[in-house]
Amino acid sequence: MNGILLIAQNTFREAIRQKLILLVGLIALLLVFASKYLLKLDLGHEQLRFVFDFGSGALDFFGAIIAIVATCQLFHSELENKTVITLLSKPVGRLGFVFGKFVGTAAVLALFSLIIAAATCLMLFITYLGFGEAAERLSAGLETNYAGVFAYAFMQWLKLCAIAALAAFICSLSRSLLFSVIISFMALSASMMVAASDWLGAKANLGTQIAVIAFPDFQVFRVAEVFAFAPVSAQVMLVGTAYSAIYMATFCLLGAWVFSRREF
Amino acid sequence: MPPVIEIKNLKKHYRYGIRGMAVQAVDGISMSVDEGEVFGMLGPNGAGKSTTIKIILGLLRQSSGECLIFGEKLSRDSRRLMGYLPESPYFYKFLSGFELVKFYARLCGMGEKEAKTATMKALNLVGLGDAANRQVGLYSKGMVQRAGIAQAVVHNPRLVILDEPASGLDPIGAADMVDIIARLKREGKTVLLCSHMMSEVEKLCTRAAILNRGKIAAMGMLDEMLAQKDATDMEFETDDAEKLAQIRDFAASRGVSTLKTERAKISLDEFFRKTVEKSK
Ligand SMILES: Nc1ncnc2c1ncn2[C@@H]1O[C@H](COP(=O)(O)OP(=O)(O)O)[C@@H](O)[C@H]1O
Ligand SMILES: [Mg+2]
Repeated sequence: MNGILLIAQNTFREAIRQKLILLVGLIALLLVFASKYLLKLDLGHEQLRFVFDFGSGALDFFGAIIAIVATCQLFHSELENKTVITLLSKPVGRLGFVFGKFVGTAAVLALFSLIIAAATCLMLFITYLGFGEAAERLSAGLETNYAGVFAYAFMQWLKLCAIAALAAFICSLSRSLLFSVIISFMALSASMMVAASDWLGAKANLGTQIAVIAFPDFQVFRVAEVFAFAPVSAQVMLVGTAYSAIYMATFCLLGAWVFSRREF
Repeated sequence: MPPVIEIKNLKKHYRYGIRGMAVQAVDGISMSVDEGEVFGMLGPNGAGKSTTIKIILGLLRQSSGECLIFGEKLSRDSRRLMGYLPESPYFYKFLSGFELVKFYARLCGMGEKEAKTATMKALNLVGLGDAANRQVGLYSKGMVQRAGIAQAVVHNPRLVILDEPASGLDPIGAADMVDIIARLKREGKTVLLCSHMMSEVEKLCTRAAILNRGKIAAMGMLDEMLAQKDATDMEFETDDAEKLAQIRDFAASRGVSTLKTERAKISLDEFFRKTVEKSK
């Protein structure tokens, strides 16, 4: 346990000192801040919704990129720089290694989600202030639930962690960074397609059933979108947390098992 | 007491390529290392030294044979008693030397305070005390190697395994390395020293094994293996040709022939070090 936390801390530190991840995070943040100024049309009461969609879009899109790139990069840098050899000669264990790397990435994702959520809230607030006298008319009964925005970000963080767990599993199988990244993005697109086909009401067969188990079910997390302008539902949060926890544990354990069979 | 390392008929083959071509890297090695000794493992490149070490550390699985540490199969507890310097090591470039060594100390179960003290001690031992706060990414090859030793001894292990500790070091660095290992030996640690540099091994080891193509070609006490039958070296404190001729004549009168007489020399290695030190 101690080992997992130490490795996680070290992984987090590596990520923070790494420029690429920082850059992606910064672009996402800028986009959120730009949301108000990108809005040329007078959407009237849709403005608040537009600003929130921008924030959630940044969280969704850039979050997925960071989840995959950070996981693969942090995992493979350890293998390619051969630091893993020294690390595994210490009383750590392969399970400790995989979980440590994962927890470190999850911390990076948590930081990212928190920053985007805070930026979104700030923009929502500024937009609301901008309404001035016409606030009543322009917000059209839409009241921002700032705590709900954070609840939504938390749910998105759970989703990103599930993606990271899948990527960590792929990394434990693969020998090259590029391969891991490509396969992880393919898995991500597959999950999106599964979600889409599910939404379109496609008939279930064995193939889709396996896909439903193997790829994270994004719908579980997406329903939290409404929290931005409505009360938070504890049930939705609980279901999301439980689902994500089971998904993460399964794929990290699988990853650790695969990794324990590797030689260095 | 059981030997610190005991290897019995160890074999390892690597498979590579799609057709599964095999390389026999270790081919039936048996040896044991006792508590408190510095054991040398010599051999040309590709002899199987690193492979053997990695099996001892559990980084590779043997194809067959047995390997015991402190009389038992490798476990998390025995890992705590071992330190390892990998061949041409790399460390986290984004950490400072201090952060790096402290990280490994913590992993070995030390508390924060204890780890800090131990880290400073280890860094001073290897002569990195002044560079402790510099990033490892900025270290020279020799400094990385030193940090590697610090990392291997920071948790005060009983057994230290060093894979080519002096590779890539200049003669001064290599001599420092010999000093450091000699100090570990004085502290009573067991050292498995793997090298293809004969001079280090000769200065440090009591026993050694020579590996070639995955097999042990020779093994035993260094003194015994190197001793020449029917010959003795003597060194006289004179360079007077006349006196030396008399000594030779005296020896001849006793029926002992003199095989060689030459000016005593220091090694180039030693000369180099003294020159550099003088011009400091
Ligand atoms: N991962 C590997 N895959 C295939 N062959 C390997 C691998 N590692 C080492 N070998 C081969 O095993 C032999 C022994 O290597 P090694 O133990 O590194 O030798 P040494 O450390 O004595 O120089 C060499 O022939 C080397 O090519
Ligand atoms: Mg080697």
